[in-house]
Amino acid sequence: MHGLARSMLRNREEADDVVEDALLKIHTAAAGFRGSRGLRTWTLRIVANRCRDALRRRKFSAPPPDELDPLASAGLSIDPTREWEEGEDQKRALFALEKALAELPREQREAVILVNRLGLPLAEAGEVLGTTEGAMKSRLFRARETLRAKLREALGE
Amino acid sequence: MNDGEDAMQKREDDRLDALLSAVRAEPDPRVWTRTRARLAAGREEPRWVAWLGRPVTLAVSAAMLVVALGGTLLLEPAGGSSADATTLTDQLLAERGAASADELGGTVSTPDEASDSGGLQ
Repeated sequence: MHGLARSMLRNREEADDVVEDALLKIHTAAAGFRGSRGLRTWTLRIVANRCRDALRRRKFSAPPPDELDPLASAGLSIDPTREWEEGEDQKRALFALEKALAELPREQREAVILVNRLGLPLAEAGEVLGTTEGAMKSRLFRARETLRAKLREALGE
Repeated sequence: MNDGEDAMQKREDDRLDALLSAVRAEPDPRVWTRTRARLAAGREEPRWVAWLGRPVTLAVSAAMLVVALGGTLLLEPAGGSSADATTLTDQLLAERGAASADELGGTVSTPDEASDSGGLQ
């Protein structure tokens, strides 16, 4: 829940408020949960919908400033157990990727976060976002193309 | 696409996957604490606050208010009160047997009553 909210909103406080609201909603709506979708899908769907509401509200306010450390301001951190290729500037690459991710259209960003960051299967990610597996594939394909290009550009390759 | 391009794209894809999955979000215990406190206090936002907070609902309400006010302003002159009041007065005067409002103010004299000259005796 935190991973989705923070990746979507890129603002730790706002994302935590969204998670808090989602938890309250889950608590009050738990009696109506029939299990047809699975608990994870159901909870992530609630979070995703609240993130969309928050992003919609942002249209009426100033956009968040460009942060020096987009990961820290979003409340995200680098997995310390991760192994990296020798000589790779991981921080630079991650910052560039985070910036490119933030510039993607919302639908594509949601798809990348759910599938590539949180590791959800395509079908489940589609259910979370209320769309089909085919639409998810298409969004992912376009998103990854954009991300690859922006990453190449940012790393000077 | 040749083998070189394939290999390059594969390498880029792998790097993208590695970078995307290398980021994680640590849950903040304060969120759970706040949520538990709100649940315990039953301080869920009142429904009417949530309802008012929705921009679409707010816009619809404002539009309905404008329409209602406009309708009121349009209808008010048509049902003006002065004409009705005159008619009602005339009606009341007619029922009392008076021809007009002036007659009500005039002196009614009877044949065997001495007329008042207005002078001092």
